[in-house]
Amino acid sequence: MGPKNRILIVDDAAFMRMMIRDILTKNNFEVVGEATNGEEAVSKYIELQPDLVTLDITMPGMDGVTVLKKIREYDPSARVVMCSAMGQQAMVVEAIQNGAKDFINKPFHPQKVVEILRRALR
Amino acid sequence: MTVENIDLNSYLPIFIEETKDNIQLISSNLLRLEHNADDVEAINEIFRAAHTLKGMSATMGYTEISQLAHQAENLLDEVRQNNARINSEMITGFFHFVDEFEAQLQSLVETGAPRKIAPERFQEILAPFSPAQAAATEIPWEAAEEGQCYLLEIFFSRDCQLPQARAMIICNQLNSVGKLLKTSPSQEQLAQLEQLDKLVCIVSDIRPEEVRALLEGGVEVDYYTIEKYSCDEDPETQDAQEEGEFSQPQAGEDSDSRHDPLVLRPTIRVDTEKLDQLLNLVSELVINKTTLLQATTNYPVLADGVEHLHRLTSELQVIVMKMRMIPLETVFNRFPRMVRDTAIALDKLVNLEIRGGDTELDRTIIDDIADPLVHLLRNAVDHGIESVEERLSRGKPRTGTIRLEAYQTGNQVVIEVSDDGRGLDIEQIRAKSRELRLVGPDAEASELANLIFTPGFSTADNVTDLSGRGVGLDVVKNSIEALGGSIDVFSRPNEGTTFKISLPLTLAIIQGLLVRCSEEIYVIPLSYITETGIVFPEEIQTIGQQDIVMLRGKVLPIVYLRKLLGIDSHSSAEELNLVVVRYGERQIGIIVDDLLGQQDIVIKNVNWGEQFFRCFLGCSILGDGSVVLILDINVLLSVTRVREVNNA
Repeated sequence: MGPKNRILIVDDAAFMRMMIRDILTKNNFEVVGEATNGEEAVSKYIELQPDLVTLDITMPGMDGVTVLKKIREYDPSARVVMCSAMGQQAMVVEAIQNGAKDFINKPFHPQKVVEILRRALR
Repeated sequence: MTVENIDLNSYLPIFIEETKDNIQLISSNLLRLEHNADDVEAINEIFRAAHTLKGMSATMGYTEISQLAHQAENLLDEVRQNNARINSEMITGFFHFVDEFEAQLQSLVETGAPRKIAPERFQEILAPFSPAQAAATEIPWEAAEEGQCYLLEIFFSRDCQLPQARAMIICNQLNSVGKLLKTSPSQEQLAQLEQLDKLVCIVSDIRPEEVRALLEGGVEVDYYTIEKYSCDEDPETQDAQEEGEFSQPQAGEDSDSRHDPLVLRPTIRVDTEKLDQLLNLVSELVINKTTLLQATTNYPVLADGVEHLHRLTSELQVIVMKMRMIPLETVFNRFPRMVRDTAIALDKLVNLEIRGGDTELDRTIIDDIADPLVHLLRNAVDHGIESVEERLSRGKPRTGTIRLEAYQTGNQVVIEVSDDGRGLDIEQIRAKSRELRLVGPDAEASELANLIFTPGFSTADNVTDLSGRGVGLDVVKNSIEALGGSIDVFSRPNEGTTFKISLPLTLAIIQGLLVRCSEEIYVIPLSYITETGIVFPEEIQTIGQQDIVMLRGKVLPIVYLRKLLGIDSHSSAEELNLVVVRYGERQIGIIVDDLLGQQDIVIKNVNWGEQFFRCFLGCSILGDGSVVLILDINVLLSVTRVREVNNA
């Protein structure tokens, strides 16, 4: 098994961050950082250069799609997976049009999260 | 895979129910295809049903069933893609598929687990498609040249979240490993869509591993197909082709609503036991309402409230009854297949026409009507319809017609099974009935015809697998009568035979006429009664031993309820109350002591035991709590019939 993939988790809810962190660490990913809002997400991305970002679509302040655009502006090859909840279809579609690799829907199924992240990292 | 543990067994009943529905859907559409191989809608319907079956069985973890459905779906899709015509071998193959599914269901019902499918079985089912099959699998991946285009069809699974977004991701991914030339729906459309179950792409410069890596192993993509596609074609025609191809399912859906009688309305499934409970409660309510009605006749103050209650309970009763009603369709639907198979087995050409499938009957009756109908239809194919040669020699069309028709008249539902075959051989029946000493020498044809319902009475010369064993029509008659119905037969030589079954709409609550006989109150179901009246003792004449009155110039046999029930002798009243009842073609008058009025009667079944004279349908509890017996008019009629025959 190669080096662990380095992940940045962006979510305003501590509960969600914790949950994603647990899922990822149990499945051989390395969580290199967490961000609680858009500005922090962009600066952490530049600072940490993660392999992949899980990005909550709705956050107070800068929303997920805007964060995605900023990150992709800085690094056009950035791998970003959106975290969405039911009923955010339009946002998900917009994110994908703006280069998001994939999306995971809440509530999270660990198996699916892992599967999608692995695929996005290929 | 770490999936949350859900108890799949709790889904088994609904899985079985829906699987049945889908198999039925496939079956009926196969028959449509058999009539018209170009019926695109039918193909689409089957395709959809197979797809649903696949998804459901996969969810339940029945891998083999799912594979089978998957194969069927693929094959149909091939047919669709290649514009190949469905041939009869293919249809037979699909019927094998239906059979296998039914067998699996059976196994699920009996053992809770699917049965193993033998590899030969797969072969048997799939063999008729082998040319199409070969064409499908022969994708020379190794020879994939640069610039070669592929047509990729991706089917999203039911539980795929936001399939349209998933489709966009797949497009992005395909674009990163190859060249995505075209998609349907287009990428612009995808963003606008609400739902999506299939994405079609034309891609070039890809390798199979890449496609596999993209599409396999996830839960979102149910399955996909890929085949070579010619990019060299004139883009114009290519577009046109695609349009045609891609818009096909759409067209199918549109026309569904126009043609297909099986349009699904939103429904919920309710355990029938709950319905029965509801009915029972409503029945109690009806009884109580009646009590209240009687109790309040002396209290005008309460009249309004009671009147309102009366209306409400009546409506409630109607609704509960309606909830228990299901269309005969549910039974009729399986007959085309059965008639087809029987006809093929006997090497006859038969066309089954079904009418009035939307006629509704109480569920309890529907459940029990199927077997008698199967029997009658088999008889019609076996004994009624002649062989092709015989038909031609009699100047009839090659293909025989069997009509199955249902309609409602008043409180009854009539189901007719008629054929245009040779008709009953009345002379043979006459001979046979003399042999069995059933009738006198000058019995009428209609009377003779009805003898075919006598136990052990069969005129079939040779017993086939299907019918003619002499255990037949009497069983049919018994089952129909057990349902409170009647059956009659009409036949004309060389023109055909018609069986006419009359059934009550429901068994649970009836309208009844209360009559008094000696000290007891009895109920005569209103549906049998044609009229009531008064006769004077001097009007009654006796012919043989049969008492009759003349009613508007016609002879009406009469019976005394007192005599029938073994209650002392005649009452000495100056006027006699007469209730004229009719059942099927027969009519008699019943003399009772008094007519007490009509009311709703909730039938409660009574276990009479064998030794009892079965002239009661059951009992009921009146408003005042007294128990009354409900007369079984059918039995009364047959009792008098025997007497007539004996007289003859």
